[in-house]
Amino acid sequence: MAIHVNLDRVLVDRRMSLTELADRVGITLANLSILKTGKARAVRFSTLNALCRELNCQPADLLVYAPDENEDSEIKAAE
Amino acid sequence: MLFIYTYHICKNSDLTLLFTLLLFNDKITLVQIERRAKTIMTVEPLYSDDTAPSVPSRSTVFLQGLITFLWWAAWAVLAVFIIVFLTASLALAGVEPLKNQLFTEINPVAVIVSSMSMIIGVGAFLIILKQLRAICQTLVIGDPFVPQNAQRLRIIWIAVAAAEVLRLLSGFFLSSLMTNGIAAQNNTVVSLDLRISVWFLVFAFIIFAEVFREGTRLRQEQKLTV
Repeated sequence: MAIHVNLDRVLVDRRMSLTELADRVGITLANLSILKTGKARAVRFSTLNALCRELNCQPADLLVYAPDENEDSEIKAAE
Repeated sequence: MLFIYTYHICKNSDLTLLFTLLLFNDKITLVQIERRAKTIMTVEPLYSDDTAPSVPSRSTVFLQGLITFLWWAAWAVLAVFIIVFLTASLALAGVEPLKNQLFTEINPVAVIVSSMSMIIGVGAFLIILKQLRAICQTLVIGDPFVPQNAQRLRIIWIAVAAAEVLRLLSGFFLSSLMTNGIAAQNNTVVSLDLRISVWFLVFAFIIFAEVFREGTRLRQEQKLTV
């Protein structure tokens, strides 16, 4: 996947723990970990909204597009 | 530094949020801070807690009880047919008292074939019940849309189809055996009774299993949606 979640960096910048963010946003820690480790397949707008509100940031701060070298082969494999 | 220190001292109070906001967003105005503090204090959980154990419904409890009852009943029936099968086998093997007393009018081969077909039938029933029990268990846990359940539905239709094929074969064999024994009677014929309803059920089950498989795929995707 070429979309990377930069939640780690934003959390460090805000000096906030993952548990604290989970409490504030109202998402379970397990789900937030899924997002942080890049296992998530999709993000709801409501989640993104809550994250941006609590971290006082833009979606672009959280999500970064960096093309993978082997992305083409991944797409071909998926097809 | 002072602010960071304060932040760590009273990590859980809402006051700290104001400090952190002052610290990290120096451009933010006081009004904005106030507004933010209000929204923070009224954050409602986005989703219900996934880990909360669900209470099994009364129908699920009833179904589980029924399945457990059928499970033991099927084992009892299986035991009876195994005994019949063994008795017929012994009679065929030449155990005199059995042969003379029990199988004077009935052909032991016919008994063996019919009891064997019944054993296979009850076996298929047990396999289906085992799958249903496992499915009910996932229902009690609260997450029935798992790939294992799609596999279980698949096993169920395969078991139904296999049992039906075996029933047809044994029925065919038995009827041909009977007509050989009573050659003079013209009214006995080699029968092959295809049960349309059973095959229709198998067909419906195949579709259900495939729909369920797609459902589990969607559920997995939903699980990974944050």
